[in-house]
Amino acid sequence: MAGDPKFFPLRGIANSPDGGAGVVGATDPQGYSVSGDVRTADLLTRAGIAHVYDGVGCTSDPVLSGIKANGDPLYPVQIDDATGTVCGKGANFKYNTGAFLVPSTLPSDAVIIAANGGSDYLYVPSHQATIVTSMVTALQARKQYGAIFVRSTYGAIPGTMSLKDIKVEGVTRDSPPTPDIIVSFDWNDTAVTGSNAAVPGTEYESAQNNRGMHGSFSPIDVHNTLVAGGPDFKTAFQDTYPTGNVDVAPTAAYLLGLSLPQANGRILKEALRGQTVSYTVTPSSTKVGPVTLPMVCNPDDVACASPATETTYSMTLTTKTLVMDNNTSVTYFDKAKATRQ
Amino acid sequence: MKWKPRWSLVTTWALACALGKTAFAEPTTLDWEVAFPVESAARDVHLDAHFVGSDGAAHRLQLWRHGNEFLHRRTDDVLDLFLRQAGRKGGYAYRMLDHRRRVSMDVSRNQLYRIGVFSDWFGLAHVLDRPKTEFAVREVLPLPKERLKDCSWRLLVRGNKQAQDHTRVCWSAKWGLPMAIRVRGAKGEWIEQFSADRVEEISPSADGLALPPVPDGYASFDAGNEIDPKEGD
Repeated sequence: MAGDPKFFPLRGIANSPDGGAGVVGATDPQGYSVSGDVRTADLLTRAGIAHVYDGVGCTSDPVLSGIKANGDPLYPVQIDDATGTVCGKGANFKYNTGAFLVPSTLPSDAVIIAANGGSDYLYVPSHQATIVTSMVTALQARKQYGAIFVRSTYGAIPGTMSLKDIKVEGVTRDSPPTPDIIVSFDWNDTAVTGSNAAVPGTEYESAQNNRGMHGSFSPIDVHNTLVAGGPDFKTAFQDTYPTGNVDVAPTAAYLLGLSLPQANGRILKEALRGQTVSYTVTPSSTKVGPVTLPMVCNPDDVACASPATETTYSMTLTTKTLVMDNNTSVTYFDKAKATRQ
Repeated sequence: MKWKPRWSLVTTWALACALGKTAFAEPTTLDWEVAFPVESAARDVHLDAHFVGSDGAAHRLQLWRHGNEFLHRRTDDVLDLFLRQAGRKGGYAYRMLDHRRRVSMDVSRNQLYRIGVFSDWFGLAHVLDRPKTEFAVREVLPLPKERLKDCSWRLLVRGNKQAQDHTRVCWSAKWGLPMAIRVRGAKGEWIEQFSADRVEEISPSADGLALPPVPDGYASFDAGNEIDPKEGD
């Protein structure tokens, strides 16, 4: 997890003056990430969205919330007062971003953020289209964010695709509801840091949950790993066809002799003993945009005091369609990338 | 010539206007807090009610509410849900006991919101969800012929002009609870969804308003810890 090194250069680890744990050192192209954590509730609030909640209190994340090229923290440490007015965690509590806890009664224009790591789910419980379009513009304007998918009920919002395009918009339901927006954080699938030199790929991520995460729309995250073993599977076999989570259930059902006709995925026959298949795979890309934005904000400038030179946003969704022997097909999400120019 | 009072015409006109106003007046729109007040409701309450679930079947709901601090709901003697006020700004700790599956599940309200489950104290403790989408509350005119004890009828209209659903709620300010909820059917009829069978004041909880222990033999899951071990309350 790391931001763009142009704004947040990698840094080495220096000795602590008091002999304790290491501290952030000087810039070093072979060094470690000191950025990437993004708190969407903070940025959307700064963008003028009135009532944003992520259900989290004050956070203290002085390094990974970003250390700028000049060495300044993107979010300077703040100290709560003697009564803990801001954070409710006692006197003089140190924090970087404030509390965005859910109030007892939601305002009618509330926005709720489910921070998943490489992507955020944004809910507008009132489903007000004006709020959704305002948030889309705010996300497109900030380089920390990548591809944006919006609930189909809002129609075509420029520079976005529908959640239906990636098959994550289920039957309309109240609890848990389909998000109004799913936004991937921006990623770089070739970037390396001192901690991931052997496996390239970095991305921004949600700030408040560092216990693993659900990945972005980067091919590094999407091309994940499935290991299968057992009497029905070939040994030492590497499956080069596109596959996805949706294939696990139909494959397991097939091995158990069960029928699963409603499944979105397919049986991974190519991985099963005694099976030989010949499938065709066709990649496809769809681009939306460019849309012209009032301004684009650099990630090291949360106040957007000095807008970036870029003025447009577009995004591209890449899929792979696998056609099987019986002419049925499954289309797999491959990656989604935003571009600002 | 016999004098004929002219005022009779005026009176008739005025009377017609008055009657017309009564007969055709738009029902008053009410704020949520005015329509469904809870401020003066009894603090410690037990409710025994039945309702029609999303499965179309009748279910029993029991509820024990202690102020804004503690709630215990029991559904069909199968599910127990406990809420205890915790943290700041509307924070609540939830413990659900599923007796059929012998499972205990812990989570907080903030964490539920973070996974898109918008659960509120009002909806659980006062058995009426405040709609998150567009809504209006109006007086019910004319009043239903059937009079229920301790409650006043309100009309809750959810949605916009294109798609609305109408619900009648007989709200008891005394208990901070609906005594009856009815939804409008396809033919305009009112279908009972909820009915309070018994409401009574109870003694303040003697057990310190604590969440109950997990029963022996139950699997215990801390969903909150799965969502975020650094809960921000």
